Amino acid sequence: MTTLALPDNICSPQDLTALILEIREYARWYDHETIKRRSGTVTTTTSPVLSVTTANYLRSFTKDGSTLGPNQLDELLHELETYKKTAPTITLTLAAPAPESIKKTLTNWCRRELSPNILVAFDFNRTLLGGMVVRYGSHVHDWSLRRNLMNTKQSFTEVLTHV
Amino acid sequence: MDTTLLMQIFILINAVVLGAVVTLAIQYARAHRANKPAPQVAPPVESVVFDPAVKRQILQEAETNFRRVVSSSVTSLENDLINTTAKLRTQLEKFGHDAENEEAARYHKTIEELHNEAKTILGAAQTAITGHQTDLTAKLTERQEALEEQLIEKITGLEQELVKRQAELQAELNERQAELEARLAKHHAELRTNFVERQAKVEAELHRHQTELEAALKEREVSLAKIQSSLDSDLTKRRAELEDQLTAEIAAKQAFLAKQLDTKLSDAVTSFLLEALQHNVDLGAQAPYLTALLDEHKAELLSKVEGTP
Repeated sequence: MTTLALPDNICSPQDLTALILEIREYARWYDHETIKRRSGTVTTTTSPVLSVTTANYLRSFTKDGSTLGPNQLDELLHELETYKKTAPTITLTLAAPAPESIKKTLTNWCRRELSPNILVAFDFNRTLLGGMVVRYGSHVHDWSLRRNLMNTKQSFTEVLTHV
Repeated sequence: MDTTLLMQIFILINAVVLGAVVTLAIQYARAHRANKPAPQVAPPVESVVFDPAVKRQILQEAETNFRRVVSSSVTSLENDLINTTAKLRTQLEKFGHDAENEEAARYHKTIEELHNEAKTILGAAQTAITGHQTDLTAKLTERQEALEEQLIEKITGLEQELVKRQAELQAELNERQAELEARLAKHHAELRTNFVERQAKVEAELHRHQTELEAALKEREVSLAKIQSSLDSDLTKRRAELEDQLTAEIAAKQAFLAKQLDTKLSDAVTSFLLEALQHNVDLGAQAPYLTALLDEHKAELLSKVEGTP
């Protein structure tokens, strides 16, 4: 089990995969540049463009703003791969595509209350109206507004009768 | 047959003799024709000496004469042989015809004799058969007459015995009939007496049964009236129960239909709400609600997450 802690904006397995790909590409480029520098080659190539999330994540490992070495990057990639393989994943289906703030809030709640290394995948289904459907492994919990309406329709008709 | 055999033997002997003669003639002819040196004749103590030319001429003439004689002899013998052969053939043909005619005549004669003999035998046999038939017919007639006489005698005896037996049977029959009539009269009288007694008994029994049946009938009528009244009361009670049950069923059916109506109506309203609201979802406003929802089901989620290896 890895001791890595992911930020709340890297919540889903897709986010983690994207992070691993960017870091791997960066590590490859960094490795090449290091070899060129050692061999005295003057020509250099521009570094691959990293997303803000990946840049902030890499920056969070150094205190003085320096970059990680090739070995550290390889270790980090290895740990991230392990994290991806071992981390539990929960899927939350909402009534609309979740904005970043909601994602962060819900991911923070899940990592705080359920498991610190949990990955949260987000999906949406407009027919839910509100609430959410939570799927973890083979368990599905429907806590949507639609389900509430379906369950309480008898009382709803009674209310309509009295109107 | 013997004549033919003798003729054949004679012809064979002739052929052998003729062969021997021909063989001798041929041998002589060949002996004379061969160029044998003339036998040396001892020179005569001649007193006459011939000229060699004359001598040679004489010899040639002698040889020519000898050849002529031999040739004429051979020709004569050949002619004789041809004549003999022709005669023999003629004779043989004649003998053959004679033998054939003789054999045919003898054969016909034999057949005729056999035919006559057979005719004679058949006539004798016919005569014998006719005589035998006559004898048999006479014997058969005699035998038939004797049998008829015996049969007539037997029939006569049987008829007499039959008449006698019939008389006996008639007498016995009359006797039995009289006896049966007497017994019948007696039984008739007894039966009449018994019948009167039985009739009185049956009438008494019938009267008694009729009385009992009337009593049972009255009792059954009373019982039926009771059952009728009981059935009427049960029927009324059952009708009331059925009416109550029917009322309850109708009420239940009404409630079920009303419930179904409510369900359909609520489904329709829910569907309408779903259609109307799903395009206007604001998750930002739902954030506290979502967090509260997770808090509410935290224990349930936690058990699932911790339960996973």
